[in-house]
Amino acid sequence: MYSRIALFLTVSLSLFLGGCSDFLEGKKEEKEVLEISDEKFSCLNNLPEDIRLFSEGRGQTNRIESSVQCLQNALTYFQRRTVGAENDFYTIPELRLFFGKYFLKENNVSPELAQELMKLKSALLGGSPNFLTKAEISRLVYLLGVFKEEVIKINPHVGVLTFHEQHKGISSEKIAAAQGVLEAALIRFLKETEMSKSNYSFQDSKKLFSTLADFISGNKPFNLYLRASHYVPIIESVKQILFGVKADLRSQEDWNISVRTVMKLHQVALRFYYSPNGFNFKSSEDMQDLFKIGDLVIDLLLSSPLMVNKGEIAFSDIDSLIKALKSDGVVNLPLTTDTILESYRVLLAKFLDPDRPEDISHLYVLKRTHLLTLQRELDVMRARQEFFEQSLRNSKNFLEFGENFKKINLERWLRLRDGISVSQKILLRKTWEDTLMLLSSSPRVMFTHTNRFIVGQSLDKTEVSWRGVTQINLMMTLARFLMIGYSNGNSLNLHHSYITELGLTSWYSDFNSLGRELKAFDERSGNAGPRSFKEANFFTFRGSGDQQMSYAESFEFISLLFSGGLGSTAGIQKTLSLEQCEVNERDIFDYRMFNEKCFNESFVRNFASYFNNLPLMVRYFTALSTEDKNSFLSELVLAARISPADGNKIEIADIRTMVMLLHYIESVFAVYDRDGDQVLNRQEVTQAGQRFIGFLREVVPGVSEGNLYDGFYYMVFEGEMPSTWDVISSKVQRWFKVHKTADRRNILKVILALKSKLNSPIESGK
Amino acid sequence: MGQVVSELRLFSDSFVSTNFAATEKSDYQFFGAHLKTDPSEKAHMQMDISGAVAFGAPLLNFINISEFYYLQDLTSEQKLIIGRHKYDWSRLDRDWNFGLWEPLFKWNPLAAQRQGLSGIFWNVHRPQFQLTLFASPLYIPDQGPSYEISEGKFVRGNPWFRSPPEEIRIFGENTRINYNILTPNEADIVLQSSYGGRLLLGSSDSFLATLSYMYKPANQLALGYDGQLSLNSSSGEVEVQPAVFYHSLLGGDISYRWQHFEMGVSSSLEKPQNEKLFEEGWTVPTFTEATLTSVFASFEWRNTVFAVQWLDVQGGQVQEVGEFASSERRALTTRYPFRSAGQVSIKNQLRFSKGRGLTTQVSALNSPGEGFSLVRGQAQAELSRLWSFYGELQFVKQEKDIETVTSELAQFANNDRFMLGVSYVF
Repeated sequence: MYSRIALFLTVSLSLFLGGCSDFLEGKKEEKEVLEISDEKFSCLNNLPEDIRLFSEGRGQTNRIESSVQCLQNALTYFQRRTVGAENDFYTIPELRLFFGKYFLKENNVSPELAQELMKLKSALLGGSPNFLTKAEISRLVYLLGVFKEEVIKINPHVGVLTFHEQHKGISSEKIAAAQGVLEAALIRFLKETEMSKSNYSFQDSKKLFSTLADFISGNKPFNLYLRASHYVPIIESVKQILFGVKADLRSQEDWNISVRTVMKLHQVALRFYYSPNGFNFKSSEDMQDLFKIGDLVIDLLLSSPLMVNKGEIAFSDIDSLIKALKSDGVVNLPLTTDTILESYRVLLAKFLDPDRPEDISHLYVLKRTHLLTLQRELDVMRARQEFFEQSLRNSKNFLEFGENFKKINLERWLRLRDGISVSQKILLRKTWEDTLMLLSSSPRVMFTHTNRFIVGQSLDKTEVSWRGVTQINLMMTLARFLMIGYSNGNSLNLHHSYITELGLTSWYSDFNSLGRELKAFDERSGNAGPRSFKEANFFTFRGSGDQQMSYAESFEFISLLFSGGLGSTAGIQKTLSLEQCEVNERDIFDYRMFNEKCFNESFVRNFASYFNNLPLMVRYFTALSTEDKNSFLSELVLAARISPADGNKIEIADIRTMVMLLHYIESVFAVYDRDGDQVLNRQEVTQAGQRFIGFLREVVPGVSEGNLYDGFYYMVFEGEMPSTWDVISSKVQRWFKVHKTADRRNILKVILALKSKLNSPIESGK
Repeated sequence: MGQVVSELRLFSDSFVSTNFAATEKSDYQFFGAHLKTDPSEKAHMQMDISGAVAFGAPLLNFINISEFYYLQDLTSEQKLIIGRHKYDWSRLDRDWNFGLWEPLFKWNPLAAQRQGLSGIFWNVHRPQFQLTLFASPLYIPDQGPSYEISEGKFVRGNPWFRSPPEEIRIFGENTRINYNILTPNEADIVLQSSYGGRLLLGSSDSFLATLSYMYKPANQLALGYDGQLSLNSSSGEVEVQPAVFYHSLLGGDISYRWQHFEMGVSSSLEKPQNEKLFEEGWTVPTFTEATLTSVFASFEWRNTVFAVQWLDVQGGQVQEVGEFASSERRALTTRYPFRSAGQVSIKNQLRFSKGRGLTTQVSALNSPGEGFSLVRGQAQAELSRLWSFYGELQFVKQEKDIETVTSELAQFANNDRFMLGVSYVF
């Protein structure tokens, strides 16, 4: 019985167990893992794209809202779902451990960057820079809410605020509106953060930027940083100029002032960038923009914390900015840094410093008075521009323009303006008188719409244009600066002030480097002061030939120089280049020289267009025979040539002088050809001689007054230096009233004859 | 008190799966005892208590008080019972050991055992019906496997304890979890009221119908949890909190017996109360209503009973809600051991002489829906009135292509157990 049972059990068990092998085999267990879904953080992936769109001015309100909300959620989640060794805060090592393990596995935040970020945290949220509390995270979440509100307000203006090309020409009102929103946002943010109570410094932000760049770039170059790092020295220099080396911002108000200062700087940059015509000065609005930018720059400096607190800005800080701008290429002038540094010092000392120190080596700071002087001169220029534009309104020609200017009721104008001080009123009255004086010459100083000085008699009915009168204003301003800096007077009595030859020589000397690097001064001519002094005295409308260079002479001479020496010469250079007259050799200015034959042909061919501001000269030249044209030109070249006369090449310096000579000749005719017959008769020459007689007395010392005039007649009518016999011959002809006339070619010959003498200084006392 | 049968037991558990890895050891030896009174004896005190000590594995020690009550006949038809007492509230719950009405002793979840509800039972027994009313201010939940947490980790000392995930994945990075069980005040757990009743019509020899209702705490505890990442230790700090949740049960059985054949259907409707049990922000389980239905049939032939039954659960999902919830992972809270299954079983009792006999029972449970099978067997050979040999086995098979194990039992696919023991009555 038992054996049957045992057998049954054994068989049953064996069968059972045999069938259970599948059961016993089982399946290897896999560990279960809790998982935090990162779906809620997936929105963070959109953040870079949203930032990019925002920075391009294409941000969308709903995306900004969702992005900031996402950040807030992520921070809140972090705050709720993480804990440090202490319940209420996280230490720097803990935060690094977290980010290193979960986000930045390959390139964790360095201890230095972590420390810098915590410094920023401390500045924004308060608390210790050594740890981050949970309450601070709540505060950060709140601040993000504030940030979101402000960013949404800024969003429509981002394009304007970030220098986008598409907004070129935008109105100043829109710029102001955009800036208003930005400034309000910054002020609010400052108010909401602990920044004003912190001692966060520029150096801190610089270090943060640097360590952040190291972190982002790792071993690879980080283009954005490489680009941005260029601007760090500039930003630092600007900061030092406006705030000082160590900005001492102790209160909310200090910070608000700083924000406003930065906003002013930003406004200057925006106005400059969005200037409708890129400062080509095509309209009244362009000038207003220029004045406004000038106002802003001056106000920026005057109201900068450093100027307010210390009353001065060190040249060393300005030097740093200039060096930084130059090395970065932001300032793309053909000048060396040393020349810029030297020139701005001279400008300050001579033009803006009431003391006008001779020795500028003891001048170390930009003072408040310098800026006030600059503001004063800007106001003068602005007022004059307003007068000009007012006069222009009902003027068809320069004659009407001049008459309308006289009719301006200055006193009424002054009454209508608020906030003009008594001293400003006095200055403006003087300026108005000066302007009236400068405009009252005969012939008038006139400019074409292409900024060419119109020289000729009886051309008062030449069409007047906005650009023409604006150019007059600009020339008057330059002349005013020259007078303020180098005359014996001051800004209130320029009418009666003058520059001596020594003064003009000093001007050339002060700006020698600048002139040479701008390719305006030719080192082969040495100091051109004495020559310019003579030219201003001989060849301007109101040149007197005396030992003084008046305000009027200065204004007219500068006008001639700018029109002829710069404007016309540049036009000729361009045409010659287009007509392929250039040769490979380069001149002293590194300009290409021109084939002389090619130049001659081009010059004759294009004479009318080159000198459309000298209409009577063009009429004269055009009427000449081909042979006479060539003779005139060869004499002109001979009189002007500074380069060796090898017969093959002409250089820019030669052309520049030729142009000026033609302007001078035309100026003489404009003044002295009273009967308008296009030749000078003996009476006209006699009048002209009064201007030159002092010079001749020096050239031919020991000769009586009468003989000098007879010699002068000979020189003008015959075109060569007289011998004693020639003087006697001339005297006889005068007695017998032999009719003699001199045309433009005669005057050219006189200049040719006196060429070497013009470059000699006038001996004082003679 | 009636006569208590005291039994000393010496047995050995062996985990025979090739992939068994729940603990380092796969063989455990136990020494235990079993105290049980005979309910047929008209004694006031009744009990069914067992316990054992595992050598070298303290987490496997257990004590199972499945019944312990005082019985008082009020009249010939009325009884009053105070204490822990097993009742057939639902045929389904009894046959499938589902722990829906009565708590379970789940020291070994593959062979869970019923435990009685604790409270006051008033029973009226009339020829036409039986009525039982129950009320209690006390609550004793399922008795699960023991566990221990050391330094935030669940100690691997009990093969039947399934520890929750040991790691948390944050931004694709696995991080160790330190657990902290927030044990509620015992009084908060135990002092829970419940009430219910059962009406039974007919006779178990022919047609029988029962209708039961109960409002009480669920026998399983709801587990809520929340976690934080410790930046200091770079570990997930997870707090787990058990909480009692209530449900109401409505059950009905209908069965019919004809000679040696019986068939019937049993159904229960469970309606959980989704009250707020945990702090805001925690990951918590939510429960849905469930309808459980079981059909059964059995045939008794000589000393052998053949039985077949089928169970299906509609609804009754446990879904976690919160930041850590995942549809790809089983919820920490377990409600039903499985959701649908069929089972066949054979039980045979042989009596050779007085005090000697052999009792065997084999069952095979298969759940096509959840992809697992469970074979259970047990045998007891009474060698004399004092000595017996006995053995058990539970083998589980999990379909290999099942990605997410949803059944509580299927988790133990590598815990195939074979037990042999000897007992001595004294």
